[in-house]
Amino acid sequence: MTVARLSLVGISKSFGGIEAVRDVAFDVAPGTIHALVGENGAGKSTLVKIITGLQPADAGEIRLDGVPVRFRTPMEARAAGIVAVYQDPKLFPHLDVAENIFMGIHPLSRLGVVDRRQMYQRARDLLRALDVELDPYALVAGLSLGEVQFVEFARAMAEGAERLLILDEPTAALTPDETDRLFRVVRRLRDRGTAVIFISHRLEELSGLVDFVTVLRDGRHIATAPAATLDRAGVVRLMVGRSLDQLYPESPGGARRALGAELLRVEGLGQEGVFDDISFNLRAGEIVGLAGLVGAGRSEIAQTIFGVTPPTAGRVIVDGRAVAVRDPRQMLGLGIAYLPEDRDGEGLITTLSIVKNLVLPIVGRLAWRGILRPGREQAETRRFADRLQIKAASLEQAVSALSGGNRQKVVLGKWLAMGPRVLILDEPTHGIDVGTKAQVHQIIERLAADGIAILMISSDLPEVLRMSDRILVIADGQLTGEFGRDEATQEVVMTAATQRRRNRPAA
Amino acid sequence: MIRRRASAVDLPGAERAGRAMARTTFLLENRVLGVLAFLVLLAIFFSLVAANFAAVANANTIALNGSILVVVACAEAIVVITRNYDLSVGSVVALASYVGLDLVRLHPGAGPILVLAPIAIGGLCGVVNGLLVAYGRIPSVIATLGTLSIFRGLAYLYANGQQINGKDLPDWVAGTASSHVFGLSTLVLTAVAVVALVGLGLRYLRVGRQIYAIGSNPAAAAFYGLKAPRVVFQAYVMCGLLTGLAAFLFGARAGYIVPYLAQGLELTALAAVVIGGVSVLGGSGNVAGAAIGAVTLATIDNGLVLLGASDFTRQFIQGAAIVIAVVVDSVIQRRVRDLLKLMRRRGRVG
Repeated sequence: MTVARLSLVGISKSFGGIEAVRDVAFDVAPGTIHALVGENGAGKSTLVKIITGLQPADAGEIRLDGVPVRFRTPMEARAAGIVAVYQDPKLFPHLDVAENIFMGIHPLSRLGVVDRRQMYQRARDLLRALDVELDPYALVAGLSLGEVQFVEFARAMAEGAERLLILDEPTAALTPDETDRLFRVVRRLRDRGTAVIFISHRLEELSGLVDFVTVLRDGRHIATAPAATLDRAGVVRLMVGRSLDQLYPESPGGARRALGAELLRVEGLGQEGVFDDISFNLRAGEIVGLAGLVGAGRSEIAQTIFGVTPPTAGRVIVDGRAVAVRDPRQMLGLGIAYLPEDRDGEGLITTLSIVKNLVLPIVGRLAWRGILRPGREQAETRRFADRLQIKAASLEQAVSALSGGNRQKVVLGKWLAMGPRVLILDEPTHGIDVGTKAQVHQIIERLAADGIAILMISSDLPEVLRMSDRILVIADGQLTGEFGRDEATQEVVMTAATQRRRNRPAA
Repeated sequence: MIRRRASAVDLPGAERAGRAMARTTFLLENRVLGVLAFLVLLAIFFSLVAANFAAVANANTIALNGSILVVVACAEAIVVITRNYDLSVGSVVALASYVGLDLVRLHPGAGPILVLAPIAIGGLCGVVNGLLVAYGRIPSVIATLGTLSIFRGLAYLYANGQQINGKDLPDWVAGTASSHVFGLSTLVLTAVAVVALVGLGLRYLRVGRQIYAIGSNPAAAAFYGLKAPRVVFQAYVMCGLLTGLAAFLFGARAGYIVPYLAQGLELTALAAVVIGGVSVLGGSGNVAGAAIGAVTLATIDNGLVLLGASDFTRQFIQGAAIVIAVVVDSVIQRRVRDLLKLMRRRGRVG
């Protein structure tokens, strides 16, 4: 038996008390393609960052060809022959293709100056080896995402990824034709002895390409097996295999909530190039989960309904009346509120106090002829702070001093102060601890009991299953499944979420 | 020009995007040509309305007046390309030329080697700016606004109410400003040499390319493992050294040196850079453009003087030129952004 190209032994890493990966161990043999799969937040990205030196592991050992290594920067990892290509390419838009390939590792002439002729020649050779027809002189600003991906790939080749190449969802933006081309190159690299770690959400494309599959779940290593021994259903089972009761206590249940009138309906909603043909409705008192993988287009759908980017197709019907969606202000007027995922960036002004944040959208209503009335602002805030159990030393405390969970409650309160009837929550419990999570869940359920219709985007599958009366699954910008509370299981939702687009046009 | 071919991975139905792409690429690559065309139009305009504008002697005047600004604009351009600013260049000129030429005055025997004194002082100022911005992570506008006051203040402190008269300086100082090599003014030749050297350095040295990369996308620079702080620091030091050189020329030409020399030069230099097509958002443009921007400003100035315009009018026009140039710049940048977005969507539709 040959020495493994890459050996991970007991790798653990946590962020602020939350374990991202724990005790992960597996081997990648040279000359093999190794798939790394798992749900959102299973720890794949963290693992890649640890291997490439972007983040240090808390514990464990990485061995490269049997030798223990510890990279402190991606540069060190590259020098050792480990290169990663990320799914959202980071390139220099003002510079041309060749420069993007060779930035920092420009070929030099004997005088120590950049040898531009050689640079363009080598760029051309690399691109040809990748079987892409790209002009090395083309500015990256003008390339499609697929083309950009190949530039990243060429960069990895130029750096000499001869030992280990890590591809983080490389096909997310590629056409089938481009994907085939990429796979050909990956196979060629494998045949030359390079080890490849391939991360993908499209399980069906793994068969026929990868030699081994490693499954991560909740930061733990679940299984590593030859690809031939696993079918897609088996992989899905390994990805989600856990009982819900372990994670969340039994829900009081949506069944006990009485559903009221239909408050929101969307028909054939589309945003050119992002998602299309989305239809569903929301009733008063209902919690509808919007499940799917990161990047499937869920937030985009929510933001379209909220008017951040008006739709290019379809209809939005509020209270039985068709609405031409223009902007968030209009939608707020119609009683639709949206809680963004990035609550610090889009939802809160962190340097201001809880009071100031909470009353921000209704400050005009509380004022007397344009003059603010701090007393009423205080009272109003107190009302919501109690209802939402916001824990703070004082309501005048700056939001920046609050914990993640309490911040999220302030955002919630801010929108609740406006008295919305439809509330769209984008990852409401992302990055908050388990205890606060349960509280947020309770609050959401109470809001639904009060008759608010709730659309909840969440990448936490057990959370979606536990909270929702109904689950919509989005994959690749399309609605690929709709399940009632009783029929929804982790397996069926995950299967729908990893579906390839039905009518992906050929290139 | 546009060397981009339609690539095989282009998708059907993307012709509109393709055309927009070609247009944007053209805009990005040919902004210098636009400035040059503007300069020609400007020259024609002044030739028609100002009697003496088209004379050879006047062209010389413009070249002499413009050459120092060209050097400072080159210096500023290096920093601006990294997505930073240097607002202290006017003060650096004052400090470097006062202290530097005072050393020349005190050591008349040392000879022209002392031309290095103002350059070194400028370099030191660049080190201070670079440390604050690159390693201190202070936003460049704030940091260099601070050093603008600090350097100017130091110049006043050092001068202590005095001024340096040209007649107290060795002859070689004034000689440098008025001498000619092969019939061309040393001042103009120096400016041309600076443009050529900096231009080549930015194009053919690794650090030069990294200056562009960091300005273009700092996040990507981190992923590439580029040492961004070091490169930004080097850019400031280069800027300081060149400003020091400009300080010597400034002092040599002025004939008498006072600590309030070159007030407001930072705005003129920034204007030259922006008019010359260097993006204020970093990552694009080149020093040749900045130099043409400087000459354009010198031409406007000269034409207005010939027309008998007041100082205030000239200031007004210079300000307007900056604003217009920045508007043009932001329109171009927005187009690039929109286009990138369009590309991204196109990519996702697949």
